[in-house]
Parts: sequence; C-alpha cells; structure tokens
Amino acid sequence: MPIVRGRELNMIFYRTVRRITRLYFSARMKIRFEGIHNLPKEGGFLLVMNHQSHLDSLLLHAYCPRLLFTMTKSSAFRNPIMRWVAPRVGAFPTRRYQVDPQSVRMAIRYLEEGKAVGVFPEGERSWDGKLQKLRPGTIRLILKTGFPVIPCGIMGTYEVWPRWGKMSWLKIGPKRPKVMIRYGQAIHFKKYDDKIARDKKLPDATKKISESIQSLMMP
Amino acid sequence: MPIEHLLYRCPGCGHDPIMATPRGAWCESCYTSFEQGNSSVVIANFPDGKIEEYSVNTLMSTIEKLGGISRDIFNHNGEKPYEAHVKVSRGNNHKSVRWKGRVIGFFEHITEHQVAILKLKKDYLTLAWGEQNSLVWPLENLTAIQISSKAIQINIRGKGLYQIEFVSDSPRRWEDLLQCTLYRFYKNQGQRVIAFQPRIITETSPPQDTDAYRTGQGT
Repeated sequence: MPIVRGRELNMIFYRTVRRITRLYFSARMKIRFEGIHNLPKEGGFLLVMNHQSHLDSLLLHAYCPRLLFTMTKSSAFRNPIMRWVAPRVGAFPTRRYQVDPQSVRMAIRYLEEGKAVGVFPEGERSWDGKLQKLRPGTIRLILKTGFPVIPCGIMGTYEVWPRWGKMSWLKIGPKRPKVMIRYGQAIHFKKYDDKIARDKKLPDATKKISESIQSLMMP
Repeated sequence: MPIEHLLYRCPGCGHDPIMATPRGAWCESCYTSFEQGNSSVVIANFPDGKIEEYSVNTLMSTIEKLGGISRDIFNHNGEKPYEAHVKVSRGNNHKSVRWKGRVIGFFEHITEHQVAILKLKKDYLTLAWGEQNSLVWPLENLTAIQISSKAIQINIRGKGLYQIEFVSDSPRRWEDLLQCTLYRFYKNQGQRVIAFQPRIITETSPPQDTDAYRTGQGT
C-alpha cells in the first residue's frame, strides 16, 4: 500500500531527525527534565510553554516523549525547504498578524485525534528571557477545546541563544550550558462552547496558566 | 536579530542611533562598544578600557529612562515625521501547506521587495517610492503590527499584509514607535489599546489612563 509506506517513511524521517538533534543537543547542552510523569501517556492535550529562543521548539520535538504538533509562525513556511521539513516534524502554520481560524481548526483536529499540541502562548520569543503577557487567542483555544493543559517551563535556552544574539553551534564540550525542561501538573478547564462565557473566563484562565508557567521557570 | 536592533540607542549616553559593527554595536558619541558575552550578558567596552557586563534588562531599562524611542515621542506634533529607508513587500495572497492530503494551514506569499521611505506622522503612516508613488494609511486602518525576525508585518484594513524590512534602523524601535503612536492616537479618541496582536483591539479608556503604551501597562 503506497500510502501506508509513505506514512512509515515519514515517521522514519521524523525519528531520524529526532535522533540526530538529540545527539547534537546532548553534546551541546546539559539537558535536565522534571515532571515527565505529568505528560499524559495517551489522549490529546495542550502543552503550553514559555518561549525564550529558537531552540525551545527544537528541544521539545527532540525530547518530548509524545509526538508533538506545534503551532509555528507562517513566515517560516515561506522557505521551500522549511515548507517540506516542518510538516514532517509536526509543525503547522499560524498567521500571527491576524486571527487564523485554520490553525485553530488544525489544533482542535489534532487534539480530537488524541495527539499533543504545543503552543507558545506568548506568541513570540522573549527579549529578556522573562515570561511575557500571554495572548488571548491561545487561552480562547484552551477554553474552546476543554482538553487538559500541561504547562511547561524551559530555562537556559535564552543563555544559549537569545533573541537578540547568536548561537555558537560548535561550542561542544565539558562546560556545556544547563537547560532545564520542566513539565507541570495538568490544568483542567471546562469546555466553553459559548463565546461570551469563554471571554468571561479569559482573565482567570490567563492568570492561572501564566502563574503555572512562571512557577515552572523558577531556578 | 542583531544586538543593535535591541539597543537602538546608546544606553551609556543616549545617543541615537547606535552603529552596527561585525561583533555587536558601537556608539559614535561616547565610543562605547557592546557585544554578546557568555550566558547572554552584554559586554560593554568603555573608551577608558573598562569592561563591564550588563544584563539585557538593565540596558533596556536604562534606554527607557533615557527617553526610550525618542525624547519627544509624546510631544511630537507630526510636523517632523519619523522616517526610515525600508524594503517593502506585500503579502498578496495566501498559499496552503498540505500534509498527508489535508490542508494544515496557510502562509502568506510575499511579493518582490521595493525600496521605499516609511514615514510615521501623528495620524498616518506613509510609504513613498520613486518620484510620485506613495501610499498613505490613516492609523485607524492599521489592524495589526507584528515584529518578525528582521521586519515588521503590518496588516492594513482592506489592503492586506505589508512586510517592512528596515535597511538601517531597528525593527524593534519601529514596533515601539508604532505601538506608542497608536496608543496616543486612540487615547486622543478616548480609547485604549488593549492588544496589538493578532489584531489591534481597543476599549473605552478610563479617565486616569497613563501614557504607558505597552499592552498591560496602560492602567
């Protein structure tokens, strides 16, 4: 069956990329994990994390025990190579300069299929490594779906590759910088089908998610 | 994004603009140079030979104290516009990204860029190129501002997306400038901007509103 073979090949591609990036990142950084047991073994969930660096999504795709589908800025898909690679490693586009119903639909579809969806609710990388204000669109998505939310704090990637700086890719050796990926306990929100009810719940949910990510970013 | 885009004016003396160098940024007024150090600190080399390390937060708050974007941003009457040489391209349509036979999202197709001059006045933004070609956008027609890697994406009501890449200026400064000007613009109309992304959202302004234009600081 050609379609099945194609799918298998795509998983082979995903796993190969994952192995190569894992090898590299282990040589470049001392990566520690906490709270992996908080990730559901099956079923859909939303992984919401802080965004300090380009490395965040690469690390999560490489090390997250569950296959992760992440919302990625649409401009990344303008490059034909990225356009080929990104969907094969679980990225799907979202247009950040407008409300993008297609990315919301895709996220819901993946969740309903029992897959994990990764979102950076800040919408962009932080300039100073601190958590920025969360964008309401992500919180609305969370309230619309009612799937469990796993907060995740990533620390140390800002020190390796800040938004305003460069990364030395070949600096591998014993003095590796430390990176910590910490998964928090699941937060459960009720599913709000009504837009007015969702908007009413928005400030509370934003505060709750923001505080939980913040607490996971503590050293 | 290079360091001179983050530090768009000298944190030492306030001179504007700061110059780009192959390793970082340099102030032509006080001769202090800034470059990326280990663990994402900024190393300042002073002309007397003194070398000091600063966190990005310290430098950013110093720039804010020196007047931020410009000393007279809140007083400018539009007679002397801010301007910058830019490469402008237009997102003329959206293309789909497909994976396993289904559309997983859309990305914008960007046209060839054109060299132009971007001017920001009190109530409108203009883009001029060639002898007589120009576009004038009243500020109320701007529906979103999003900083991307090297550019700013502006969504104009009824016109679509424009991507503006700065030839010799900082996109971060322009993001701040546009947000600040929009904040002022809506404040004069009794409105307050509560979100700039994914679209500009305003609400009726409380009477004690301040000049803080960053989202979440205006209360």
